[in-house]
Amino acid sequence: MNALSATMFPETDFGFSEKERLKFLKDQVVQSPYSICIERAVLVTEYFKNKANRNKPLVIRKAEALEHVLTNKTCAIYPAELIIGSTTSKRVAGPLYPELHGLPVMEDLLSFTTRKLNPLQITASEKIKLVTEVVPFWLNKFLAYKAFSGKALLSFVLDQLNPKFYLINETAGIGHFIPDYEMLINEGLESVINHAAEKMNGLAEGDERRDFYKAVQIICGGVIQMAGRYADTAKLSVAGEDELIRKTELRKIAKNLEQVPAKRAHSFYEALQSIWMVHTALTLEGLDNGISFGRMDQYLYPFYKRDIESGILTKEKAKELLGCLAIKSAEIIPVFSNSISASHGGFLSGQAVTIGGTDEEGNDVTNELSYIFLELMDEVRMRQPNYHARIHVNSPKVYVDTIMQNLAKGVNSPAIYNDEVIIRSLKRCGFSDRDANAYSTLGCVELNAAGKTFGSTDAALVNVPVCLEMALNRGKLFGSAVTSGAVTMNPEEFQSIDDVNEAFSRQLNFLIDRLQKVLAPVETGNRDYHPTPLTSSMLQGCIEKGKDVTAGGAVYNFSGVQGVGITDVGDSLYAINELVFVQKKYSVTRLIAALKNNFKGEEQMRRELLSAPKFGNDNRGPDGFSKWVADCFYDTFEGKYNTRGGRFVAGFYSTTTHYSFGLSTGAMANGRLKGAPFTSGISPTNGADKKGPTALLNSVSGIDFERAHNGVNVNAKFDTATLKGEHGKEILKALLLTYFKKGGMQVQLNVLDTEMLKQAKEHPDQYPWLIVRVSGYSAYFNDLSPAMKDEIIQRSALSC
Amino acid sequence: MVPLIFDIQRFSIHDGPGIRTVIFFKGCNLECPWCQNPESMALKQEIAYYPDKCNANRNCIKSCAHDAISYDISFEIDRNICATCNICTVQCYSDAIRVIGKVYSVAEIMEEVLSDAAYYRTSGGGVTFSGGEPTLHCDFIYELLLICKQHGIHTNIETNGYFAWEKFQKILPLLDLIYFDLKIADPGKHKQFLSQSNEKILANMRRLIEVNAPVEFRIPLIPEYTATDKNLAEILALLRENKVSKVHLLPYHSMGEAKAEKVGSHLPKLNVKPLVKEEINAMEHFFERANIQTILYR
Repeated sequence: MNALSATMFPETDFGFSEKERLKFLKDQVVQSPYSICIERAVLVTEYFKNKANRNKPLVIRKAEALEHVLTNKTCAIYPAELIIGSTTSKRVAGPLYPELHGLPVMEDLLSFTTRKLNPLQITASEKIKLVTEVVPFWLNKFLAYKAFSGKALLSFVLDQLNPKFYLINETAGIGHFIPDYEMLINEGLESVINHAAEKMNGLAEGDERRDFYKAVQIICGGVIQMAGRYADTAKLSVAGEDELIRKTELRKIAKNLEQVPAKRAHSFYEALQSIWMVHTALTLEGLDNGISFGRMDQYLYPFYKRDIESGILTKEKAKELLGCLAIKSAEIIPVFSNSISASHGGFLSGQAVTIGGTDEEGNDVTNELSYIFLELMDEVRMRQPNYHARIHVNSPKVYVDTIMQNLAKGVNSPAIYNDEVIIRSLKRCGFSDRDANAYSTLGCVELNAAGKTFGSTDAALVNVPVCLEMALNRGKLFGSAVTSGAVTMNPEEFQSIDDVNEAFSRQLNFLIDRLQKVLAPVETGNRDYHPTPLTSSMLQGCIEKGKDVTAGGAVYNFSGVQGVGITDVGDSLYAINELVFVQKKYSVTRLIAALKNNFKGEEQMRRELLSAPKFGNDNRGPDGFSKWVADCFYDTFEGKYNTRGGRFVAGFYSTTTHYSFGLSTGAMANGRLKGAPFTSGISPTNGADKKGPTALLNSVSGIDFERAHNGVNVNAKFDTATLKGEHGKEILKALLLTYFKKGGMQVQLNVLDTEMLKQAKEHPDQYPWLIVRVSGYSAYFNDLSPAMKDEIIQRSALSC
Repeated sequence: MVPLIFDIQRFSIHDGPGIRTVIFFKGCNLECPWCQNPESMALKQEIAYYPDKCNANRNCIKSCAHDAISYDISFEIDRNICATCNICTVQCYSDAIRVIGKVYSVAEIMEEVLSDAAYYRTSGGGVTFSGGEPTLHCDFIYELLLICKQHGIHTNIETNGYFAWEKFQKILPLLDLIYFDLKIADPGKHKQFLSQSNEKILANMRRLIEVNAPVEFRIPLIPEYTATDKNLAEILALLRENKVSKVHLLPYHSMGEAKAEKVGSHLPKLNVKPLVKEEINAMEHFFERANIQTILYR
């Protein structure tokens, strides 16, 4: 043991045991009100208002603005914490990004504390400060304002406030990626600075690359300075601390922060501290909430092994430290406007941790840390991070069994990912074999090569059913005089389902073309007005090329677009084919009239449409139509590239947009009423799967997932009773592994008891801890809207 | 006679090992007052009514050509007049009236069964024939079993034991497992409660053991009927006499009663209190003390 270890983990009977500490920290975080923190907004505004900064190159200004935040922000250390660093001045809060989300969030400022869904605390004086100092400055400067002009801006803002066709998330910044934390802990930020300095050598003044390299050095320096400020805070608090043990802990914290993230980490503990320091800074740079940790069990393992062997770390201590970091990740919440909350309910965040899987050659690399993470998921159940477990045919039995045990007993984590299908899929869309084999998950369900990819995986979500509505109404929404889509065939002339399919496919292509056109200025807007030098220093390729990530600097570039409501459309097309073209019970005209009238006076027709077979019952008829819709969705992206030169790739998850898109879409031929939610992800419509999970998974695995390069979300719901005990675990394992053999890509479980959910809805105060998987992410049940709660209750009642 | 199927249930995990598909045959030759599937008792099709789904729009009355349906205070169907033409079920928008029992071809059933073959393989599961009383349809089951065996699917049957040995012999070699109910040991009581004496059942039990059939015995625990000290002691004696070392215990739940109302079953309400946990545990211990391995269904 070296001198360090004696102070690292004092072997005394005082202070917290590992589990007590995690429980204490978790309670502190769970009990803290969700708030808004204005610090970032005020500091960024302060920087940009300063006339001295006006004539600097933009990328430098962005770096300096963030540096200004990092060097002036509050540096709080909370009781009992071992991993230090916060994005805000409050315990659980979201920072504001006035230059990015601008008006849409600002307009809601006054109602944040009182709104029913996801209220956020903000004091009166904070509000005044925002209204007088921040808002006026950014009124005409936020990203959407700069990306669009005049009428285009107005329609963009209106589109986003009430997304009927698609929801664009890329405007929100670019925070959906996996930083190269492996490089960070092995080399440190100073090496990044040196690298940038070397590359800058010889570049002429005025060369854009020179500015970029300078910005990288500034912002990495800013992060190091912030760490130094935390170290100072720790040292200062030693004096004010009575507890001997805490004094020692604080000294160790200070020591850690003097080493990392500037230099390489010497220990497991330092590695985690280094990651967290940079993670908070990255979160403050971009607005989106999918900055993911990647394969933590892999890149941390050498540190873990070394420390265990040298005796300065135990398994329990390692778990405690990982737990401390996990709890920190739950302190970060996004600030959404009222209208966006309807789409991303439950404070959607997607900080994913990947465990298990294969190395670059394809060999299994499950290790002790993978198991520690599995224990941690069970012991510290919080809304963040999102845990994802890779599984392949050679995964160790114990590993698979432990995962199944977690799921069967209702931990609801991890979501599981099928390596065989995913690796093939990633190779097909352009990843090298080695990078595909070593893939990581990120965000809700997305898939990338860690530290190398800017996938903009959450670029947009698309309302697919609205394309069918327009196909049945020559490019207009029901009841609208305005043509929003392509002018397709007059429905009265439809001769067969092929004509309907053709019209739908054209509407979809039209919408995606439009989406691509709307996204382009957002992409270039990010490039021209919001370069992210810190993010760029954490993604391979950028420093090599001297290019910011927003300009396409990363090794891999993509834009991920999600299709929402695929099976609603599949079921509708199937029902139209059956009742209109095969059985000839109703004419197209009558059907469309009924849809426009929300089935008023056509209850019999609606019943027949409802009782037509649906996706999710292992029935080739409807399943075939959903597969066709999915293929059609993939096809629309063929040959489409973003402005960074990256391919558009498709995925199927909906967060909670299946609810918000549903609100603005008319009645459908699957019997769905106007305004009702669509199905979540690529699942059957609620309640339509009547034949149990095997039939459900057979239907789902019929979708060609190898083309879903961006990832999919499949929810399987069970009540606690079904999966009880060893028997339940074995059944679950057989079920899910068979689904993977059949070509399933991903699945996540909700194991809940209906009664418990009903109780939780009645008495929210008694269930502050209840977590449910919403769609690719977990949320506290209490954060969901009443309609979403009902949906989850209904799901649980219907499952098996 | 073509048998009616009243349900095909996939992902069934309590009717034998692993993940199974259960084929429920309609029609039974006993009348157990505690029947959990009263809609399976009659061999013929029946109309079931689900009051909580009914929106009282009276389309059913208008559609009935036989005037078998009335709706004064509540829905009534005169089952003596009803010809089970099923038109009312089609006309009911709200799915409150449904037909129980459907004809399936062997091919149709096997298509459904084979869809989950991969799940049977990974879980050690298979197919289970249940009812009603499946042995009423041995010829039909024989055809299903032949195909199951071609595909290497594990097979199980859940029987009340009241079958003709000659008929059962035909399917016996193709069965991997037989769940055989033991309800009441005393022949007189058996006849009194279940309408038939148990002599045939006990004879079948002995013969199955004699021929080394893969049989396991199941006791439904019905308060006041089967779950009495006397009856359980007599069943234990039977098990010992036949050198049986394993038994399944199935505690009573009252779900069957609600179902009985839906098909207008003449079964009277059972009016028994479900067993409490302690009573069930005591019964489990009773068999375990006698060195009988017990499998308790909770």
